[in-house]
Amino acid sequence: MTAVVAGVGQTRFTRRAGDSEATLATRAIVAALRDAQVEPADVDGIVRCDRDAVWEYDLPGVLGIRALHFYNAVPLGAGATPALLRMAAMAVTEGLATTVLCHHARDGIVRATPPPAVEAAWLARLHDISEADVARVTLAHRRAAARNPKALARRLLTAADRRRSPYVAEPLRRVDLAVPAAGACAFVVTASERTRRPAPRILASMQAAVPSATRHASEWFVGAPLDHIARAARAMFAAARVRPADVDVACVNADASALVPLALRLYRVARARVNPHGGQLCEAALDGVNDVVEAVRQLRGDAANPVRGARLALAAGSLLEPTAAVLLGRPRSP
Amino acid sequence: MLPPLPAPNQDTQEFWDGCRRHELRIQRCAVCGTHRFAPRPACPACTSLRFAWITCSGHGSVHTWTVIHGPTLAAFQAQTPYAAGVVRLDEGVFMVGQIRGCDPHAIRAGLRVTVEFDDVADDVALPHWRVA
Repeated sequence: MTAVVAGVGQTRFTRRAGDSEATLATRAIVAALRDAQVEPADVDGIVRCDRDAVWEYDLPGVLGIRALHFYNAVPLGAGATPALLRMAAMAVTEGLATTVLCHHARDGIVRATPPPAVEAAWLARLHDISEADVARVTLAHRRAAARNPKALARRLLTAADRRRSPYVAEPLRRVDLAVPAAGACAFVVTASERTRRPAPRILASMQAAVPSATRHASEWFVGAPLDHIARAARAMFAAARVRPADVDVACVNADASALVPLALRLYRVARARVNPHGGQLCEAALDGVNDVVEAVRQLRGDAANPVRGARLALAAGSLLEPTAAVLLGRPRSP
Repeated sequence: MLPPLPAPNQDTQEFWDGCRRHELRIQRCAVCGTHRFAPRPACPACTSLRFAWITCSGHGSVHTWTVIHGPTLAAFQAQTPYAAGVVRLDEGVFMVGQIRGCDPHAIRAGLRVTVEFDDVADDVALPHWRVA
């Protein structure tokens, strides 16, 4: 049995906080159920992020959802959201649930959590990622976002424009760092036999817990930093029976531009189109959940900047948190 | 304006007490001798639960760093631009901190540094690094 992403939903993305997390999540969930052509009463499982406002007991009794028999929370952080699909796929293939709803919302209120600028800058130095590399990533993301009506940072930048942006933590300037956004995304995961429309298949997934630099500096920096992510990635590709070079679209976390070349190196993705939606940097910073939506849409052909003939997509969370990634395959033709 | 102050727990109290006396305290495994930081119950090398606290030499070298311009926490904003990085202590563990005592742009990997402490409150001192 193959688990598929039967539907996706998302709200408008905004810079400014307005609606509550609950309202945003509900809008995305309604859109995902509609997109999947699933009856709310069929939903029997849910996976959320552990710090979200909408919990498993908030949903039964609303939206036509009756009762949940599988519920789980993945640890929130910008690395977590691909794990929503990992947990949902596990529930479906193990027969724990038939129709699993995944959601994540952010109300856009900036909290005490510092941006990942400093850790990303340290990693850039350790891995010889130069300011020129960072600039290339930022400019490319702006070019992609300029053609994505949903994106929040759509103004094209020249290298000179970028140099006028102040440093936050060298070599990262303000425009090289994502600005927190408000919005929500949701998915419906079910077995391939149950879907009414062509649905991207969840081929394999991974999680890798990365000790945080500030909490456990020693372990983060000993040996080859982040090597455990590379090892988990190799196992994921092997489980999916595909090669990194086969990836057509790579939606990797771009909370800081320096993280993008590093992610491509760790996942050994060579020729994929990277973040055709503009990524966390330019579409919206929503803990990566919209990167997963983009991977799904690319395989269905309804992305804003479609990559022609895309058959294999990678969505990978931030390298700075307990991270997760998922490999999605194009829908099987009926 | 005070920087964020530590909230010691049973595992980290000794480290922060040491800082107050301007001593850098880390754990050393009583079985295999491996040093570890941050403080924790077991040895990452041999899993032994037996350990002793030692006082570090306070010397190390810069492993990685960045120059921070902010926006950052209010307590640090007035100091920008300043360098902050990861130092590899001669005992083999890594610690995060500000790197002071030279032009931040003169910092290179391997630069030798020594620990120093700021007394930020009556009973709290915070470590940082000074170029040797």
